[in-house]
Amino acid sequence: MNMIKELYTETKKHKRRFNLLIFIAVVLFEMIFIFGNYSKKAGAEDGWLLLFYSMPIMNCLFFPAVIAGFTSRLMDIEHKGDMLKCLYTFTTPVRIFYTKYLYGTISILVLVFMQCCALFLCAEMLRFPSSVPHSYMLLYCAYTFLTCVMLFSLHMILSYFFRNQAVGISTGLIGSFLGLFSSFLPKSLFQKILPWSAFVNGMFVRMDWDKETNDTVLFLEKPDFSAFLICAFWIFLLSAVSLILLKRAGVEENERSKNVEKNGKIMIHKRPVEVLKLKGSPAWIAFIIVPLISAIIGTINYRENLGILTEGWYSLWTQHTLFLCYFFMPVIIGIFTGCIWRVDHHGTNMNLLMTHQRPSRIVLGKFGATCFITTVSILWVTFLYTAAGFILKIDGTLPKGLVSWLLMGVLGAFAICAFQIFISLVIRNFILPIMIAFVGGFAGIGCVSKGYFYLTPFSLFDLAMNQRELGTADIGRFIMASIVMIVLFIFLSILYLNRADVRTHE
Amino acid sequence: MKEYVLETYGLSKKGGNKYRIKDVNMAVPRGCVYGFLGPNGAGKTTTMKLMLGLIRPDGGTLEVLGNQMTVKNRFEINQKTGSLIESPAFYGHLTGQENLEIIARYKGLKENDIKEVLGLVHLYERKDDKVKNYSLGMKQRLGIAMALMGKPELIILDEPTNGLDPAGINEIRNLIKDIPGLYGATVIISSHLLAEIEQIADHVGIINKGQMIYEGPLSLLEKNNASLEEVFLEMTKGAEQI
Repeated sequence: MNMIKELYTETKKHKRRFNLLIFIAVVLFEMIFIFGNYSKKAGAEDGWLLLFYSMPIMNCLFFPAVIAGFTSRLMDIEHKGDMLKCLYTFTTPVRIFYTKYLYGTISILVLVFMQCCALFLCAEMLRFPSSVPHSYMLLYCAYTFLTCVMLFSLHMILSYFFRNQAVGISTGLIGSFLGLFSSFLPKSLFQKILPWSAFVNGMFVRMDWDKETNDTVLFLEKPDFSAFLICAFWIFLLSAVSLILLKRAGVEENERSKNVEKNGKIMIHKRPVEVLKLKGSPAWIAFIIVPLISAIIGTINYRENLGILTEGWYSLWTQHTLFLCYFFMPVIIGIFTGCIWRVDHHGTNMNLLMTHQRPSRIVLGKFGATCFITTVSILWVTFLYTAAGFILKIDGTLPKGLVSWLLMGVLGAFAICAFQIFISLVIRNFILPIMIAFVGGFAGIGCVSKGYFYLTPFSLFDLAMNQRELGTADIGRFIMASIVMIVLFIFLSILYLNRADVRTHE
Repeated sequence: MKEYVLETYGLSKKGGNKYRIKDVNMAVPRGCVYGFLGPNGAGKTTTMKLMLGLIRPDGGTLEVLGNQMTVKNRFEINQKTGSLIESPAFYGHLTGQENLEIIARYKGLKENDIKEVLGLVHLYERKDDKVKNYSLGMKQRLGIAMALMGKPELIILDEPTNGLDPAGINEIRNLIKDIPGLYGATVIISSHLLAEIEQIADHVGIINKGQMIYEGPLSLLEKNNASLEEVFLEMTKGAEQI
């Protein structure tokens, strides 16, 4: 009875937070993608097979990030208002944690239900000739639910014990990256136990691809119930870990001063103010770690598929940059701009900032810091690419156009930086701008594939990092479009700071 | 040099459809400590935010340090002011010294300025600790130190003694009293603690339900040997609601 009361209180806490909107958005996005891609194949015998093949892959890409975002919203309300201090005086950490866990699990059930309804709707609209395979649908829903709960368990621990929600969000994004990449690798133990690849592990539809004719055939496979067991094991393990941690949990005590030199000479450092503000922040790390993971997986993938990837350095570039540049670089930039504004959106810091600095200098300072780390990251990608090429002893010299790809890539990335600076300024919520960047990455690919190269900052970056598309593009228009977008979003940010009332304590 | 450092003419600000403040006229004489009084929700913080250009008025104008406050010159005016509005602003993951370093960088100040204000608010010993580990009173003192950086001509303090212990209140009170003499600065201070204002202010402004109901020398207000508290309670009781 008490639990029901607490669950009701938890629901009340999230009033006007619109948490389910994240779920609705992702289900809609997936359905639009399915409908757009498969409308021409409608009526095909294997309509349901196509759905059951595509959905786990899309879930593998989107759900880890969405669940990370959702969980972070559940916990952020407590961290922001320092509410845990208050809650610990009349309830236990275990009860707080598990009430949220229950609330989250019910929400995930709603997510799976919404996806299930959306699948039926898609099937109806695409006019699949075969009837609904009820048993497979049930199996798909049960497994998706179990996998989501497993990821939710992990993110509850991260979001509960780390005040900085960037930790959970970054883990979710890196996880979706790992999960997606691992699905393209041959089956291995690593893939089987990796939590983020669980969506793919439970697939019961596989694809057979004929290298000669390029034909693909989908076929049903006996469901792998060991994937269910591994998920259940992870949930059990994470619950045990959370219980141990919760037993020790208490309100964070003040850190004892580390061995800092007291009463030392006061010196004003030369580092830019925006860099100083992010001292100790993990936001920088993603720019180094994600390209490194991408390079390792890209190199392995290249080596395993030498039969298909025959263009040496060019093929290696695609493997190194494919997902990193299309999906993850925009998101990393989104996390960074979120962090760089979050320090000033906290408490009354906007009062401090706006009484001491011109809006133009504020925006340019933050834009400069974001551009700097993005450039370093792109150079790091290039270094890893070159190093991998030499280790693999690829014949020939580095591609001639490499320098121009990089210069264009940096310019395109700057357009994303300007866009995300504006979005993170206007939307004070930490998660939403990151989700916009995540969706933007996909929108960018969509625009490039339809030939709208210059429409969004994301498509400009995708265009620059894809040497084939760049080869057919008008470089002059590309440069002009990038500069226009950079100037536009910088101008809008300055205008917003100049015109809007300063908001605090949100 | 103008007699008043800050003047407002019919200043109004709406929150939704309702006025938060309406037709506020103020004149703050140079070199004084100006006590800005009013009950909770009377419009003190809104007025102070308008003084700094943090929010834009829906009506009226204001002149700060001889210049009309506009979007364009807001920054130039604020370079000559120091402020603590609502609650202290700070970057919790940075040390006290690093927080002041940020202000020093914004205002183009030197190491000595940081040292001086740390000494004034008695935080020198704790300058290397992260601010998130400071007590509420220490955070408040850091906020005051930030406001004092660069010896501004006008200092605007919104309830600066919130969270301080009696000894801390006494310290800050003495510091504020000394500011006009030390820097030649004018201080506008809002507070709920009427006894405190009585001890340090020479001019007062009383706002209630968004309207100014009194402005003038404190001595004039207390001429009938009534305490500030008595006068304040009497005035705020009968004010017209906007």
